[in-house]
Amino acid sequence: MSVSTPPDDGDKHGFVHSVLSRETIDERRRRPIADPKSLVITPLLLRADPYDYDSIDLRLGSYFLIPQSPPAPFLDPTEENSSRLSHLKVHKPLGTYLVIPAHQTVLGATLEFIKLPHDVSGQILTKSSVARTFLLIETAPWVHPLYRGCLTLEIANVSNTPQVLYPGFHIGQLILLANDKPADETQPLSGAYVGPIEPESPALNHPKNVLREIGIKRYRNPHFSDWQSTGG
Amino acid sequence: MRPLRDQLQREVASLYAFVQNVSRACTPPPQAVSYSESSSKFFEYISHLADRTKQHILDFDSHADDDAEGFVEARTELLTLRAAWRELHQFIKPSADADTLNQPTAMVAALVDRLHELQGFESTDFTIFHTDSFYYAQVNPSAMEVVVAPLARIVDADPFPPNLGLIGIPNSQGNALFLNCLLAHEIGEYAYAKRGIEARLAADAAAALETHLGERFSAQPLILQSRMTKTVLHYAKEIFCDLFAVRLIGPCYSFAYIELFDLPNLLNKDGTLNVSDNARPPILSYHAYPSHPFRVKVQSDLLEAEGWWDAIKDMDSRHCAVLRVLLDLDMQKFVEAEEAAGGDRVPFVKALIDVMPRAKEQVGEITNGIDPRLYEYGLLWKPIAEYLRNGIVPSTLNIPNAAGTLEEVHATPITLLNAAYRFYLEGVEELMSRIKDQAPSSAQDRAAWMKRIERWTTKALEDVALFGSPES
Repeated sequence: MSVSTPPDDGDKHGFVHSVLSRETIDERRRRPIADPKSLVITPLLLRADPYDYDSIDLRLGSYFLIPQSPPAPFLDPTEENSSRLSHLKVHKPLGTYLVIPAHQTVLGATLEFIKLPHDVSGQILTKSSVARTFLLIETAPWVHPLYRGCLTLEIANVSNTPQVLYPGFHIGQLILLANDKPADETQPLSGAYVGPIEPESPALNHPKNVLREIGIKRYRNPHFSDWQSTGG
Repeated sequence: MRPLRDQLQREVASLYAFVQNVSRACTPPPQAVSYSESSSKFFEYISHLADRTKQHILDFDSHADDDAEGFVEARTELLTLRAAWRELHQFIKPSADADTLNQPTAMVAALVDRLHELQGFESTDFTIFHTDSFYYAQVNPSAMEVVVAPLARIVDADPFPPNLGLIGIPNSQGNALFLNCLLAHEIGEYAYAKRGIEARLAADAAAALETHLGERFSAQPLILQSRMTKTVLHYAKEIFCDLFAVRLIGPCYSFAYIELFDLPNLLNKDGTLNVSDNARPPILSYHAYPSHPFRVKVQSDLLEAEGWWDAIKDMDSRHCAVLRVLLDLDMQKFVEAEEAAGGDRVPFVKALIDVMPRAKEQVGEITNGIDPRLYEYGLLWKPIAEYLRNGIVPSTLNIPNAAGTLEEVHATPITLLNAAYRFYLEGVEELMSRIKDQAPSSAQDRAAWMKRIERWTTKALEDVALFGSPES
């Protein structure tokens, strides 16, 4: 991966997949919202110096989903409410903190709401100072062009020590990468994760729908272990 | 029979347990959830009051050896303590239930900040509690003092925090945003009580009744006159609080009011006003309140006088149509409707109409100098709608400035609320058209995106509060 400023405007393609620099990020943020190349990061606090040379530091938001045992004995993709019931929502206002026990996980979100340009993808990485405490914040770090929303963080304390998380602290850094071919901004946005402002339970795919697509005719229901038709 | 001393000790212990139980919900408050500063302030006070009460009970001499008079006096003290804690009971657990996930935290903070712009209310704060029935309520600060003062005096506790109000919201509405614009009315009730507006309107109300009832008022015993005047004052209080709310936050209050009482049902299919007997909700006044259409009529008149009407009149929404038809309606129609219905309340409605200018004057005095944010709304409602249409939280807006370049601006909460409510009423289809597989004809799909608009607006309110903090 090269670190260089991508060709700024104009529809020039064929350049290497490159990391957006501070200047380009700032320039993209100053475009009108109707411009498909516009970038949104809000709230951007400490505005005197919000960016690093090639990334933007992101802060931890105030809302969390803490895993809990659902009424069912397992997270069940065949049950509509299983995903929602498997988490406890918690609000920790700025100034308060959340303790994550050793070897435990929690869903969080960035304080910043992001909207990516149509020609830029993003990758969120754990800040090195955070990573050195053996806290990981992402297992699905890729952000697609035109994504909008606060970024959900799959936070895992893989250390042997309980850790304290303060909302508002820098926790990750967003790297923006220019794509050689822009996404079509006229296409409808996918509804499942448009504009979340706090961590949301995963939208689980029912095995019936996924397996039918690839020609599988039956699946086993985890409740009864019996075979059921996919309708395929 | 057991000795009197033993029996009294049992009664004292019973009271001790009673206070323990009542105060338990917030001493200490639940640790698994978070509370606003004002809730914490309330809990700290209740905790202090409970500690002082329990200590007082522990130190309580049974007074079994007192003379008869002394005994009664001492025993009555216990009655006072129990009565006070029985009253407090209705607020403690419902306040503990209203943690930051179960109250419109960002909205309350925005409204309180707005109230702080008014002279004399700079340090006022509100603790939110849940109500079981579907109503919003403000606990009269003087009523709270009446409950707490005797208790505090007996147990030697601090008085109730002087600038802390209590507001109840329906327990199902903690997650809603726009409907909770109605909180502005309850803040108006707080201002009404704190400034003693009732006393200022009482003479006008009595004079108005005398004008319209003549001897049927003046020849009545004083107690009846007082009761009749009270009805007009009840009416006037609602009008005062509605006008206060409109002054405080603009038309979003009226939209929430129209929503809560389903006032679009006043419109016929062709958009005209249904003023017939079967109008629902009725345009006839209630025992303690003017009718909803009457109240919205008064709000729409103020919106027009303030210049808001010109800024919202082209909205593509039946909420706006309700404002329009009521704006065009002559106030006399409400009197005629009361006359046609039998006339019992005619003099009260007429008296209210007479008193309204004085009530408006009081609203003007309290809210004097407040910027309605109308100019800002004119500049920013379209950009805010554009951000929401694109599914983006409108807390940082890029708008063109006079030099033709883009400038980064942050709207105030009042502008955000009014602009976002407007989009909520007229822009959902446009938003949904940008999302895959969403049918505007599906109430479920539509409700999901309406909820999203509320969440984005809430996030914007949270963000702009941060922009105002020293860090940014």
